[in-house]
Amino acid sequence: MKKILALAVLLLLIITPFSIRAEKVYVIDNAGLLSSQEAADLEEKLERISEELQADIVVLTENDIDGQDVVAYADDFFDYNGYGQGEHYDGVLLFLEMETRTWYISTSGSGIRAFTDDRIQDAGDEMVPYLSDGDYYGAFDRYADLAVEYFREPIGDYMLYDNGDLVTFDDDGNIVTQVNIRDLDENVMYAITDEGKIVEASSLEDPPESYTYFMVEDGYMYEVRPEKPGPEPERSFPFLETGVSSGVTGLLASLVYVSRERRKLRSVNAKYQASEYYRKGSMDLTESRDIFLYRNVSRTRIQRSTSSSGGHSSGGGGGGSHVHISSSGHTHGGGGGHF
Amino acid sequence: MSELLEYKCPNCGGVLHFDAQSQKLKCLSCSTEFDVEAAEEYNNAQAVNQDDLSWLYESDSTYKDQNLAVYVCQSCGGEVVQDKTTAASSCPFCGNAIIVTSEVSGELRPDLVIPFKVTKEDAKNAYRKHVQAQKLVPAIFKRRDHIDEIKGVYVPFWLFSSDVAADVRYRAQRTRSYSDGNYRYVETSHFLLKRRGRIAFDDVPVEGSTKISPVLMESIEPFDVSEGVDFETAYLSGYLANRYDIGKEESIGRANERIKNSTESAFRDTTAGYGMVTTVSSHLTNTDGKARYALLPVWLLSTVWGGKTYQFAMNGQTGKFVGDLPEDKMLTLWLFLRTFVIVFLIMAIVLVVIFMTAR
Repeated sequence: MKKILALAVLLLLIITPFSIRAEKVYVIDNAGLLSSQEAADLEEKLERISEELQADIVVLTENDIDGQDVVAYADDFFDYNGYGQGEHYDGVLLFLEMETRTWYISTSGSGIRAFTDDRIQDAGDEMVPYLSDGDYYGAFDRYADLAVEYFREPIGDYMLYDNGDLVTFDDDGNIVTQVNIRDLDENVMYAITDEGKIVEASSLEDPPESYTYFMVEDGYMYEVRPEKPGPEPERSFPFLETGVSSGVTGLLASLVYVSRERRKLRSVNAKYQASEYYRKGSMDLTESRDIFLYRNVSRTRIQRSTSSSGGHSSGGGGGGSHVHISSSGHTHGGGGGHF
Repeated sequence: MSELLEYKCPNCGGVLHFDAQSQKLKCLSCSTEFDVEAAEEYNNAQAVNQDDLSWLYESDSTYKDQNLAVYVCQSCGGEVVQDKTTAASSCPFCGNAIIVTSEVSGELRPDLVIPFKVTKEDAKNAYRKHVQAQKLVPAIFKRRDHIDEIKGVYVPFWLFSSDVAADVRYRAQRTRSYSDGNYRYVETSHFLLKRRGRIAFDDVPVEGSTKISPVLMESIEPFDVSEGVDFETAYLSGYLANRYDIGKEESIGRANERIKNSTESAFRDTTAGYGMVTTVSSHLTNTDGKARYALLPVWLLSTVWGGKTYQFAMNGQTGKFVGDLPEDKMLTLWLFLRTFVIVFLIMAIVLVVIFMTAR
């Protein structure tokens, strides 16, 4: 009898982790921003794409985290709730904190290469209009679609740790080089090749767009666009600009001057008023009333300018991610903003 | 029956004309000056002796025109044909001043006259200055010299004074902008402003002769009516004068228009803090309205150029000179090109210098 009981408990212990794992929740809407239907639809979508991308795509919302650090909160939630697939804990978490109206994306594993710093800001720019309008489902839906797009084409070329450690990847995501930026020469332009090697950009004859270019200055790493090596070419005299500006000035000046002279030809005008015949001091108001009628308000949306972080983001260059080590010891990238 | 008045010099018997510089009657022959009242007294005394001379007002059959009248010059006997409304002129034969007193007496007697303060010389100089300074007037026009034809004319005016009671309503707007990070808001508030009160105007002039352009006369305003004096025919001597042929009733419309606009504007100035203020309605009532008939001094010159008549006028009291001038399109084009080229070159040189030093 005890043997059968022990076997049953053992079986349960074995089975339960599997069933728990099948119940990994991808939508944790603690702030109650979604209706039950919306939450269900989103859960289903995130589950599906997480399986397809082999990375956990998660959404978390909270009303108020009592002033805790958003970055740490997001990272810890991801780590301590067992998110992340594979040995590198691949995945990405979108966190919304309503009290401070903050959004934050935390990346892990392959998510770091999929959601580079530039791409995180682009995702934010796309989501913020929805968030400001209160269309949270719309925002999360966009996030999910972007996750699919980004994970299918991860472009991150490097990870930069807070302590200056720089890790480069090749196009398949393998780590190639590990170096500290303080060991690099300052004010020299470097390039990270498609193979993940760090070379001096001046040694390249025809700098390809797919490389990521950066410089180290004052202990910071800055991404830059490639420039043609060699001496700065002599700027030839801008005939067109000079001609056009002089022409326009000349035109304006002559138009103004000639119309003034032409107006001098006319001096005969009827008088509209009798102001010179006003008897001084004779004006006396017996009644003076200002009556409010009605009010109109019109509004226009303010255009948000897209922020750029030095280099360009999508397309050729690649770019990379700033990363840090969270309390669990895992490496996370991330970025955020407000709505 | 009309009387032609001439003012004879008590000294030499010569012809007296009103002299703007001295503001007295001056003899053309011996240059002696006389006070207006003195000359009046003298000539009235003379007139007593001339009662029996009759001066003909003939409606001659050859002059069928209702608007003309014929007079016989006292000095030379010549027949002078002139507009019925002309009250003062000079004989085309002997240059003597002719004053048709019937045109300035009784109902037609002016309440007030402002004597000429500006001389013919002043007028001629003003005209020359007005024209010479212009860059776009055809050269030949500038050179033409029939400026001697400039005439000193007493122009008939109605001067309207009124205490106005006015009730004006305006629409006004005020806008406010603000933003909250996501949207930019523009708030427009609409108001109705009511203003009621009194305002007075004195001696608003409306020109009263069909022979003279009213716009031209408005352009030489203002006249300082405080310098006006009681009418004496002596002031007219040596000048042309017309009596009115547009009546008081017909003229009051123009005065009312100007008074209305001034009132709306003056009341509008009492509103503050609004962006846009427009008049919706205004109701004015004239109380204590008065009209005076005045003869005001104007120097007039008319010239024809390119098939158009150009009229010039100078305020005979203040010296203000006006008159539209013809434009020579070639000169305009030339001025335009000259200016364009010069500015273009200057700008180009400046830009080149900047480019060079910035390298």
